[in-house]
Amino acid sequence: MPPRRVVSRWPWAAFLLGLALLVFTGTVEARLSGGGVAAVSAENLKAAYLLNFMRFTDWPPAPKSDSYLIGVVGDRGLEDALLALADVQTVHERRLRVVRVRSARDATECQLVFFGRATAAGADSALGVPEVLRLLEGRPVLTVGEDPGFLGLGGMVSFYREDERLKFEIAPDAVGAGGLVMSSRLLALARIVRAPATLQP
Amino acid sequence: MAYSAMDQSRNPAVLVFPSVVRSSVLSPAGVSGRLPSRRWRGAATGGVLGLALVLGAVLIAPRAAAGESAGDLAGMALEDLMQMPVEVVSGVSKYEQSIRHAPAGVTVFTASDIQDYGWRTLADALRAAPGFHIRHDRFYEYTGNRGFTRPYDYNARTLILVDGHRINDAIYQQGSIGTEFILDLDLVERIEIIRGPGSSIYGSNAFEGAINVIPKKGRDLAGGQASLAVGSEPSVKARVSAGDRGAGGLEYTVSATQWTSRGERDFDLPQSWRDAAPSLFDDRNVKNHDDTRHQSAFGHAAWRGFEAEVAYVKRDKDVLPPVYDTTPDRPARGADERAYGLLRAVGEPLPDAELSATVSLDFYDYDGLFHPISSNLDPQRSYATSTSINTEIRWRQTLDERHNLIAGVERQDNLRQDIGRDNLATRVEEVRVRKSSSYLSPFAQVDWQLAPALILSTGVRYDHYNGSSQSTTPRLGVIWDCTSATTIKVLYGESFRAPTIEERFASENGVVANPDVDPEKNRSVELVVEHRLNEVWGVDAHFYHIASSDLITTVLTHSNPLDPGEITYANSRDVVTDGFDLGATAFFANGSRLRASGTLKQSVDEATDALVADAPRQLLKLNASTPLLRPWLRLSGELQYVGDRRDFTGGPVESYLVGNATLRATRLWDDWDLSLSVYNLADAERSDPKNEGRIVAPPRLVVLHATYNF
Repeated sequence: MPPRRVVSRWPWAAFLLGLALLVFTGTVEARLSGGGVAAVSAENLKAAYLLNFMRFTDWPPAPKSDSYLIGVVGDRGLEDALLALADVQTVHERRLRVVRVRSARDATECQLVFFGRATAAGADSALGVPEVLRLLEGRPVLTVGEDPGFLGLGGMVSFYREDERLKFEIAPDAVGAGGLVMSSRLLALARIVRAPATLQP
Repeated sequence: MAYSAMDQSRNPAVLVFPSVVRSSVLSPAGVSGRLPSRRWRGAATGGVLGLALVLGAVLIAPRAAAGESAGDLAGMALEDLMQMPVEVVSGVSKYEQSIRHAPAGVTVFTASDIQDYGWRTLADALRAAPGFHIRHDRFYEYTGNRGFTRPYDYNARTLILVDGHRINDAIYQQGSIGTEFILDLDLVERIEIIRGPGSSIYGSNAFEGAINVIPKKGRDLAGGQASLAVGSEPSVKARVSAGDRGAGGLEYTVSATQWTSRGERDFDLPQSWRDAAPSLFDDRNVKNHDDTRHQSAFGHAAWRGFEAEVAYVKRDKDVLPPVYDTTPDRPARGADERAYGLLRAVGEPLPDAELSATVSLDFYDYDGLFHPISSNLDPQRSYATSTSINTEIRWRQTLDERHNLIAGVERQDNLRQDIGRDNLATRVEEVRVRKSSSYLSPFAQVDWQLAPALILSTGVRYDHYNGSSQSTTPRLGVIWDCTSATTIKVLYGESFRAPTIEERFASENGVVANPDVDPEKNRSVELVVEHRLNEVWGVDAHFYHIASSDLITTVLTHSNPLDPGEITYANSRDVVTDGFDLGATAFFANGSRLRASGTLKQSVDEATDALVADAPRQLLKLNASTPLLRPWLRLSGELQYVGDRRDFTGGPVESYLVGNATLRATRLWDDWDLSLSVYNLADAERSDPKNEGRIVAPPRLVVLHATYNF
């Protein structure tokens, strides 16, 4: 069979189809009040999770302060996302402040500390995660991480991915040791990780 | 005989209809004339107008504040957050980034997709990917990714990666995707399908795109699995896997698979063959059926910043007589064996910086035995072996807290590259190549955050092949979040495929090797519009213009008066592809998922202005999965339409529509997963092009799959 000659109408077909698509999306978008929902970046999603974790956690009574302090170790993107939220969101009717944790002592000042993945890459990174966690042990600081070994090091909450969704697991023993109380709703949604008895200090 | 060079050492030298084959393979390639750039102008006009329209529409559309998305999310319930897809990809730029901001069109399939749709091989998954068609010649499978496949080529224009590690071998550069792929697909956590040139980050073979397959880690398995799948061919696949992460930070995975299939027993051989020699087709005489034996193993361990991984696969395949035109009463089989071991260390020498070093040892081995009709049924043994060491050092840094830099150097030493073919009857070594080679390739990419909603991605890689070619491949992308729900990407990329050892050195009777043959090149311009309509629906459109030049083809030498049919390899073919993919995805609140895509494209040979072979102009795909009555029961189905195309000898290959369905129950009696899959539901007859002519695709198949989790 001789090869068919080519009719060069493709760019125009592409153009017309793109047009149709845009008209379609434009129409649909106009009908949705307030526009569409953004595709989710991991940072924004994590930031939203952290606020939710705080909303479902009670800290022991502490000296009066009108704000909660969120510390971030090694995740600038999350810092930015949290800073954007801190301007407009409150937790337990308190304002939020975001700090970059530069020393273990900084971390003890916070109500929540997030440890980015990069910090867990090497044992001797600028700020040793195991050391900070050890220092925070028994203190009312909610520790959240995302490295697979985070709960094993004494962390309280850890993110994990499942089916392209971000989910979280909680070590209730570590939470309780810090004097924090989490709502049953939060615990019901989490994967619960209990440390083996031998690893308890 | 000249034509045997086309398949060189790996396959038997066979030729049933020399005149047909030779003319079709050779004629367009030898013509070097170019047409005026009519299509370029058309495409450019269409592209510019399309772009102007998109920009206009976006400017008119109500703008959302840049920070709105984070605020929206913070107001959502936890249950809803847990349903939000996190769209990240690590295979585009060698670091994890949001798909929305990656300089490429990306599709991600997950372990749920694999299990719900019952995909058995990587090829099955790729069949569902926008813009892809798969050619299955019943020996191997080949990807056409926004374009075409070529005869006597082993899928060398798609780079296959396992967690970023190159799988394409150092002999045929084969991107294996069928039953010879190194991982059991049930051990795969996610598949990143990256469309468009990827050479600026990966070098050779990321010509049409790259597929990054990420195996399950210990945290994904968190226990053990024993799995048995029984198919109607008949076939049996057994797998045992275990993985976990310990409190001390040690994470491990081990897995082994044994898979045997008898394939198609009553394969429909051409009637003319049966008439010619009926006794040959008596089942007692048939020596080369469709049997497959696959054995594979995988191991991974990670502790702190250290990682070790080993993988192995051996696939023995009996090759049906029509594949290479052998006779049924003599063995025809090929065994592919691949293995690698790698060590990786990742550290953070400076704040905001990550340094990683990877070293790997890779083996590839092929061993085939054929009795080609064209060589008087003499037994011929083909073999190939390679051993390579690959080293890569990578530096990743956040600059000025906004820009992302990744830079590195990759070096590969191919210590051994042997190929050959021996005629066991005459004891003649028809092909014998013993080589070693190396390449050294620095690369860098910076993703500049020019404004909160605007990223400029710039990347380049230089590949220096010792003693032969050099290639410099840039990539440029402008990525604009024009509203909180819409992203527009304008991408330019170049890619190459280095010539194989076979194309450069494998001389034989009638074939002159061409050590000076240059790499094939690809240049691609793409416009991507991604738009999220609401919590459920997302739509995307990709418009592309791809110019593939210097494709390596066989041409007549015209220099040997004794053999007018003598051929050699040359960079003699240019192909232009224009087209677009439109896609829609939906995640419904009840757990239903839907993915649909349509592709219209054409690939045209620049010299002849004719459509190239095995390049269907229409592709339609629909994948839908929904819970059925109970949350643990799920019904999933897929429909794939592949438009008509031509085979490599110019004959028509009819379009087809194929449907597959899987019913799957998870966590039955706590520990069991059960699924029943039917492939090719309607048992429709369809064909794919093979090297010469066509070959019928497998008939309907039913597979029952049980997995016990412990």
